[in-house]
Amino acid sequence: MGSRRQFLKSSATSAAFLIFSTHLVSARSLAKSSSKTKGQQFQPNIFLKIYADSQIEFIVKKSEMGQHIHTALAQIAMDELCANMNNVKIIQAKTDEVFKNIQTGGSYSVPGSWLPLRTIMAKARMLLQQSACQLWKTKNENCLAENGYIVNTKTSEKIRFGDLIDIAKTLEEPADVEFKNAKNYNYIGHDIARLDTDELLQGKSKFGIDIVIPHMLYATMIHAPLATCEVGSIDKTSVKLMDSIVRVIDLKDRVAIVATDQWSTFKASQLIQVKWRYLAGEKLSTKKLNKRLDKSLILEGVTCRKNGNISKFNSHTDFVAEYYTPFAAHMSIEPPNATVKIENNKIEVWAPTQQASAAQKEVASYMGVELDSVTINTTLIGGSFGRKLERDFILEAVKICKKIKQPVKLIWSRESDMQSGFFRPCSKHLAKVSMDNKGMPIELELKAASPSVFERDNPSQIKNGHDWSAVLGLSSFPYTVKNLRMSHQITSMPEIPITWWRGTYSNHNCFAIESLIDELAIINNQDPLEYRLMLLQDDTKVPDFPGSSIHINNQKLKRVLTKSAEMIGWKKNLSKNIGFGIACHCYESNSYAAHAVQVERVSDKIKINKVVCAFDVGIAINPDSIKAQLEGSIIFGITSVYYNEILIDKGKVKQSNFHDQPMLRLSETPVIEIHLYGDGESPGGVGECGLPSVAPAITNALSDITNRRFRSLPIKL
Amino acid sequence: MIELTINNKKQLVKADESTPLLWVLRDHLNLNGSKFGCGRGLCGACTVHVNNKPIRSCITLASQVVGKQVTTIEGVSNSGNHPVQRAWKSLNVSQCGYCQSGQIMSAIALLNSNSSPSSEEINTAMSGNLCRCGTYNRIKKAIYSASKELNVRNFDNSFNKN
Repeated sequence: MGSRRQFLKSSATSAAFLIFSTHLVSARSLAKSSSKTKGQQFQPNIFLKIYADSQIEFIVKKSEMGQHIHTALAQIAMDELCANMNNVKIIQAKTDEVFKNIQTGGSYSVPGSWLPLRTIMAKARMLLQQSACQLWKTKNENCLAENGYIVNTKTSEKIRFGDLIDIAKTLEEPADVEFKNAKNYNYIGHDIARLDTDELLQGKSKFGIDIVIPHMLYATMIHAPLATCEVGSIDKTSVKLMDSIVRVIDLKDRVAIVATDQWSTFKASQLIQVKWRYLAGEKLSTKKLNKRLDKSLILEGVTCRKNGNISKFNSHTDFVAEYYTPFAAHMSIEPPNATVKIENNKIEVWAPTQQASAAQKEVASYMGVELDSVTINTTLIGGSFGRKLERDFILEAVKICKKIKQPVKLIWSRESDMQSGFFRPCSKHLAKVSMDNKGMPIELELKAASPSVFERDNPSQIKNGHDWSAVLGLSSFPYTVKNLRMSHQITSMPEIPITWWRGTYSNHNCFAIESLIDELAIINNQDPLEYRLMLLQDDTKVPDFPGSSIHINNQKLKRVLTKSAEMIGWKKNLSKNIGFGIACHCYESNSYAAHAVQVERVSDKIKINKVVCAFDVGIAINPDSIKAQLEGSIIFGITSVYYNEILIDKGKVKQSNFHDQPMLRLSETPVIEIHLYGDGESPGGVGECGLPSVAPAITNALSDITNRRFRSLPIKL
Repeated sequence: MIELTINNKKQLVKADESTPLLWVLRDHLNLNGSKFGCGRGLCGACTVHVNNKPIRSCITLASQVVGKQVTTIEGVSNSGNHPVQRAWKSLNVSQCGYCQSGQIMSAIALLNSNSSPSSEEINTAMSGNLCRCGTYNRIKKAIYSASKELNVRNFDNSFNKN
């Protein structure tokens, strides 16, 4: 269990298991008390309601943002319950007295739900089985749950779940749990299309941006060029004649425009002139920020992994290289937005958020009210990739609503989203290696420098300069090298707001490691695949990793590497116009990825022909949806190789919209193939886990064909 | 007041003539299937049909479509049974789904004008529609699949007529 997991467990969102189990009792007592009045439903746990007509409501806490998590959780829950999926309605949990820890992130939804969700659903199923036993006066082993019924195996009698709820309510929860035999799974491991597909494809689904509430006004925001700016003056002359403009609000470091329609807010945002006062960074540029990274790399850094010693290093180093990844925007197509109403001191919010509970706390604190005066409704999310872990846009909408005393929907312009962050942190790595006469590394030092998300977001997570999140994928360097030192140095960049970004630092660290190993293979005239396999000698164990331990099973890493090589036809085509690249990554001990790439020179251009991914997910809940996410990760990764780059010049962001910060298009997309391994003991994460090794696999392939190294992203071919 | 024909229905809208069609659809007619992504015709999330041609409704003024037929995602089928929607469903194309209304509108417009598009023709027709989740290859497969179905249907229709 990785440290990110520990964090998810110990932070505002406490342990998944605790969330599930501690509420079990209270939910049952709740259900019992409400049953006296209603008598219509059986609520064996807080996530499940079974009605007399056998319809089921399944409440999910996780945000749906394209990972098909509602479907995957329903597959796990309904399989263990032995229910019929056609009778299930999915309900998104909102913050209330029962659901206090609503948070989605860390590629942890399925891994964290796997055991606790099956446990409570198995217990619910056992209660229904016992109810049938009581009704039929037969033994437990004669009552089998199947497809929404309990079947009497002796008499072949069948009874629907709904017809058992009155008895089930009177029974005590079983102490021990009997899980369904995995051989009998009929949803887990099956390809099931996203459950709300029909609505989605007809444009009926409600994303945050689609929320409409009575009497609402519309708003947008003009943001400061840097986090270290304040409003100097606002010139509203040009919008004075616009009848639709209701208010222009100075919020100190940003300006809100409120109107009777959304279009007017965008129009006015172009017309209103805001002069900003720089508290710092008026002449800030990417070049200057990168110098801070360089300075950090001169320092020793905070050691996060050490084997042997590297004392010889200064006298003789065979290989030195630097790797760089820039700031990057998330670019989800749905921009940040939130809808808020305040009535009788009760605040209700609708927003595409990954962190409803954190938002609830922050809104309550801002408004000076009790937590239960604030309700956060999580809508569908039109892409997030970490951006909607931040609550800034929710707080903005609340501030506006408080000022104008009317319900409001705030939608950001694309320009705001592109220019005011939050961004993925930038990073630089410095590698020094000395090798033996066979070309194998005997001393290897990798120093990383980057700004820290925790420095702003949660400083208590940083201990003695050690930011565990920044060394994910660095401290777990999987290759066997006798003398090894990894370190990270936090580089302060308070002018630039940064946040999590699909795998965040794992991308930086994997890019540096997988580029470095590739370079070492090439300069020693060795095959990059064979070289990696040779270096993957023992499992990687990092027992002293803060708060947890890391264990990478090198057999699994070798298996995905070998498979991806086989899928791409590794070095079978030896034409000088064809190049191959490979890279691998283990994400927090539980999911293993390898990517292999074939590129081709066509006239004077180089094109990516094919990218393959072999992925060990432990147990695949919904193989097709996992493959879809891995396909998406490849496209996301290619975008990061060719396009992702937020540049700062003269104290502001240069990019503004999709014309100057593009993403991969359909016409540029290569052939993609995915192979899944699902023969493990528990499901691993997916969303972030298939991304880090994409970029180095591509740059390694480009190096293979050009004989140039690409140590800096995005690449300039 | 602007009079528009949206999904075969006449609508009187009290909006400024300079309002882009997208915001008339979304905020005046409560047709929220067409999405806002960039506001500059760069991402395709707002794609609708005007006289059967795909346009970016975020940069098309409502006044420009007066007297023309506007079709939105809400108007392409009664219950999601358009061959393109069916192909999208069977290939599990959507991830977050936000851009998919626009993708589907571009795909339908392509197939309306060319029922057997080549790979290159699909690339050209679909490359103005961005998808951050990365569903492109499934989109392409779904267009091929819908194209096959449409061609079988066209063949059946002409066969029956003869």
